Amino acid sequence: MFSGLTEKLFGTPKEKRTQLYFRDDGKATFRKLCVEDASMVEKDSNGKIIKGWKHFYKLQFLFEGFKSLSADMVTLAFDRHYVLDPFNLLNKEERPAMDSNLDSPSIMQIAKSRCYKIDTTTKGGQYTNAIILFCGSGTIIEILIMGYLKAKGMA
Amino acid sequence: MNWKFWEKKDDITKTSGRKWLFAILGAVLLVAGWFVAGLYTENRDNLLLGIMTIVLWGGGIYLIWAGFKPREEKVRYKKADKKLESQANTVNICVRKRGMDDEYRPFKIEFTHVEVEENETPPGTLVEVTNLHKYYYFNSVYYEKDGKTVIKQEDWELPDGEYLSPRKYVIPLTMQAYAKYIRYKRSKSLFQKISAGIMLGAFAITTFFFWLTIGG
Repeated sequence: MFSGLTEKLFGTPKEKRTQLYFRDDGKATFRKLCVEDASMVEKDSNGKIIKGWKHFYKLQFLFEGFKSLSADMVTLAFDRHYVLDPFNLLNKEERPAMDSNLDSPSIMQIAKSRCYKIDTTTKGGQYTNAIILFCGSGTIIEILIMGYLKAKGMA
Repeated sequence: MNWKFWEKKDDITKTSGRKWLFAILGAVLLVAGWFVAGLYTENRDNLLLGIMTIVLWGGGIYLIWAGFKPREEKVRYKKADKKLESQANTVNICVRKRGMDDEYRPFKIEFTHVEVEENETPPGTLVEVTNLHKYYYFNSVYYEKDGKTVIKQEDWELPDGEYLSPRKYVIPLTMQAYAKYIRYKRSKSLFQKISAGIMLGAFAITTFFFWLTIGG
C-alpha cells in the first residue's frame, strides 16, 4: 500500500546490483551499486560519477548470500578495466579491447548515445518563442485596429 | 550452495491476539459513538455531533470486521541468524559447461555462480574480503554439464596490465565536456531571456489602450 505512495512522492527506487570488486591493493569488496544506462556506477557524495563499469546480464553470477551479504546476482569487477570477463562469456563482438584506447567502436557508441541524451535533456524554453509570437502579433494587430478607428473618427 | 540464507518464519500463526485487540478498540469506538449520539439527540441543530456519531460507529464496525476477517495465508521469511558461526574459507567463482537445460536458463548458456564453502586444505589466491573482515581463498571452478563434476579448478587470477580503467570509462559515460559545450552553445543573452516578458508587457499595455479606444 505505502510502496506505491512513496514511489509517487520520492520517485522509483534506483536499480542496484551487487558487485564483487577487486581492488588494486589485492582486497575485494562485495558492494551494491546503481545501474545507470547499462553501466554500474560509483558516485561520490555529491552524486558525481567517479567510476563506471559496463554492465552485462551475461556476466552476472548467482550468489545465494553469505552472512551479512544478501542474495543477489553478482557482477565481477576490478580496478583496471571497465569489463571483467575471466571466463570469456561475452561474444566476440561484445568483448572489449584489452587496451586503454577510448576510440574503440563500443566506447564510441556509448559516448554517442550519451550525447543524444544530453541533447534531449538540455533543451528547454519551448514556450518562449510561442509567447513572443503570440504577444508580438497581437500587439501589432491591436495597434493597426486602433489606427484604423482613429482615422475613421470612430474612436 | 547448501547454506540457507533465508529460512521460514516460525511464528506466522501467532497473530490470534491481534483480532481481540481490534475488537476491543472497535467496541470502544462504538460506545463512544453511543455517547455522542446521546448528545446529538439532545441538540439536533449540532450537525457535527451527528457526523461524529456516524464516523465513530463506522470506524468501530470496520475495526471489528478487520480483526475477524479471514486472513490470507502469507509465507513470511526472516533473515537467518547473522551471528551464525561459519568456518567457510573459500570463495569459488564457478562456471558450468555449455549445453545444460534447466528451468531457469532455457537458453544454452553457461550457468554461473559464486559459492562460499569450507575447505580443510584450500587452494587458491588469498584475498581479503573487506566486508567480512577475513581472508578467503579465491578459485575459479569449471563444472561439467551436470553441475557437480569438477572439470578443473584454478587459482583466481586477474588480468595483469593497464587497460581502460573505470575512472577513464567515466569520460564516455558522462560526456561532461560535451554537456558543458551544449550548455554554452544554448546559453542566451540577457535580452533573449527577457524578450518574452517584454513582449507580454507590451501586449498587456496595448490591450489596455485598445480597450479604452473601443470605449471600454
